Amino acid sequence: MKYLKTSKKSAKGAIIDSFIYLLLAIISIIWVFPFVYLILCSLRGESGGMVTYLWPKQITFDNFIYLFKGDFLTWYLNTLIIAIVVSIINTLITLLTAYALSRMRFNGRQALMKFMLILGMFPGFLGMICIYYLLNAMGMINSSLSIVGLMLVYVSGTMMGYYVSKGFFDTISRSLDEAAMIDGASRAKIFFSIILPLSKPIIIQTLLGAFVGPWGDYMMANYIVGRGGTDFKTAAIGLYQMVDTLPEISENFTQFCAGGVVVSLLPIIMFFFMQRFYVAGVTGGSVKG
Amino acid sequence: MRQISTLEYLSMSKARRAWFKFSSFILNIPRAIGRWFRNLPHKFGAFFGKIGGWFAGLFDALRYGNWKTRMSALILGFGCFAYHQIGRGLLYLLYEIIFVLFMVFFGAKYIAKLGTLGDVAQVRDPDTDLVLIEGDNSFSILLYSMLTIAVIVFTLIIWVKSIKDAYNNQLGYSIAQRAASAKDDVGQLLNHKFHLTILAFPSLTLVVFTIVPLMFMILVAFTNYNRNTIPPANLFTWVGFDNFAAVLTGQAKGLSGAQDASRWSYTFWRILGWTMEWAVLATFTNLFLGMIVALIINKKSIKLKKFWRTCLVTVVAVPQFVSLLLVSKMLNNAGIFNSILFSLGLPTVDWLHESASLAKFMIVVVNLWVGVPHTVLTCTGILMNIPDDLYEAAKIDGANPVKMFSKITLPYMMFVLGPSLITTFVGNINNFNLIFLLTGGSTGIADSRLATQAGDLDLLITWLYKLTVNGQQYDVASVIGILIFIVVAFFSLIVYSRIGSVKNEEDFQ
Repeated sequence: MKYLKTSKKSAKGAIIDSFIYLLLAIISIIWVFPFVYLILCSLRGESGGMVTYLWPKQITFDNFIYLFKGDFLTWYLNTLIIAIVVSIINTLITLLTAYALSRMRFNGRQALMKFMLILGMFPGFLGMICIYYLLNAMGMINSSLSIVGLMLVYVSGTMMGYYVSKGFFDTISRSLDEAAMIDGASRAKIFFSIILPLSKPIIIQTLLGAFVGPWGDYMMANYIVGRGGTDFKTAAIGLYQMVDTLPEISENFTQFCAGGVVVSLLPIIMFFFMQRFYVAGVTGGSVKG
Repeated sequence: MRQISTLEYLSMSKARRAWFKFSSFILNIPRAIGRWFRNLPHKFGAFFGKIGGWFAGLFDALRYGNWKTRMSALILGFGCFAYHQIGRGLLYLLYEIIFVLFMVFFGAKYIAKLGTLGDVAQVRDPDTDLVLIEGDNSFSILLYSMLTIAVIVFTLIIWVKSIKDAYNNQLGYSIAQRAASAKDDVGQLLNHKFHLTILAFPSLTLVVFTIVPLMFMILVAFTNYNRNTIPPANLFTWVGFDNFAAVLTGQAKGLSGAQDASRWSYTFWRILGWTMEWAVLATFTNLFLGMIVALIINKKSIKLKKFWRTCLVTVVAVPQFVSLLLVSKMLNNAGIFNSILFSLGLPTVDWLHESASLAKFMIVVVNLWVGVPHTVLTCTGILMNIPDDLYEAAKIDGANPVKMFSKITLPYMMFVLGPSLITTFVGNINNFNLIFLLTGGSTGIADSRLATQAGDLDLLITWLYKLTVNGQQYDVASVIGILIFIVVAFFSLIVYSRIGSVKNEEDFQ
């Protein structure tokens, strides 16, 4: 009797599970399909924007070759340099700000936090006209310095994104600091040799976020470099302008797809290897379980 | 709200309890906001009290200090030199010299014209188009005035600090006969004053590239700076609240825009309505679908968890300008979806251009595609964090899976996700990428009631963007920016007045 009951139950469970597998398969297909389409289009030999079939009749790498013969390599390198520099600087700024606000007690700390909270509620794009003018005055528009100008734009507001890291630092026991302080360590030493080694998930999450932000940004970059010379563009701007109008779509669509594949490659690899830390980091700051 | 006793509450049925909790939350919102505003005078009082205390220290120093201390008010760092703090004194003195030079050669001429934003118009030779009289540049005057004000505020802080330093030296000299040396100072910057070292550079970029531009743009909302008044060829000037009146009520006297003001207000309210509708829809559909997918992926008996998750996470990793542009091309009239429909013999649909309501529906669907993986990642983290002993205890007490879900899993997830909901909501209000990259903000159906640059799918943020980049209507754009701030602040206020996590940050330790 007992055996019968369990086998009946597991049979029911198996049916539910197979339904779930079916559902998951459908969901995965929906989520992955556009990227399969992207890759197929990037390999398509026939020109012309939209075609009525999925599988290309002729598979070539011509789109990639054509793309790299043009300006794409410059755009890609521009984006890469900006993203690397910005992610390193921003991670440092975010972590140091979070550390100062989490561990040190100084005059005006509460006021600073409230001030940044209010500041963060303004749309970031609002100040752009002004920033453009300032960068122009410094000779950073439409010149070889425009990459530096764009970096400055991305670095400027970073301090306000300290919340998650501060939440993480708040959970690291303060008795560690106190013990180190009794042994004569300075605040700087405590941060670099005690707190940082304990904060691997949050460092990786911040690095990743700070890298992906400039890597895929369109709004800010378009205002700073969108109307400038083709040598100063980033990949996002260059690729967007390739398919901006209808005749351009029919001419450049396959190359746009090739560019999309190349641009997506690096973030996908990074996410794939850092997913574990990313999941831990997203919730690490908020869960005190 | 009706007050009820504990006994009365316990005697309710479950559904009525839930309804009671929900309604009391909603009914409490105005009260919470009211309380926040009632506390505002206290908060301001505390703020000004602090500033007053800061200045009181200054007056004490000037009143009881000796002549060396008082001299520091004129010559910064004098009090440091007098007590053999050469390094610190030199820095103060150098700062004073730089500040005076800055004001004389740069700051003063802009501040002086802030009241009118310049009155000498540029004159060009009508034949040769050469500039005869350079004239005032309203833009530079406003911008550099803001910069100068920031410098003056900073100088004020340094000035008070120098006098207090001198006074402390005087007091310390009479007790210990020794003031802090330069070496002590540097050591302090790495230890008890480490925050000064690490916040200096970020604060500088924050001031120059965020605060000064924001102050500038907030003030632009009170001017008539638009495409008809672009400096240096033209001057713009203060117009008071005219722009706000135009955008909010449709009545304006002095607005120099090409179209009548009622179109501005019609457009604003319509776009605000859609922005709110969108933010609510996007946030909740995303939350529910994301939670369901996370739960089924994390079901104990399901294999290949990592594979399913990776399938979803690809969307997170691919830059949005690639994925959204691609999807917008796929949804095109001649895109792949319509090709599939056509080959199946079904009628094709112009997903994003046929009607506004269909396009809005598609936007929400595409947002699910982009946003659900984020929710799944977060929920997975939360689900892994729920302590197993809770479930074991429930199992021993004879709870069934449904009960365990509704009593343990769901409350736990909502507890962690609740506060982040508002962040998502605000993020959706300002979701530029999705609307702009997917649709460009318009179905392409002409609507003569809308103001320039506005489309029927625009959010406030994309309208702001188009007004700035394409329309050069900076005055109206600034007003929109300030109104976005007010909307976002309103929703944030509700949450911050209801959850205590901001206040009790020391509780975790």
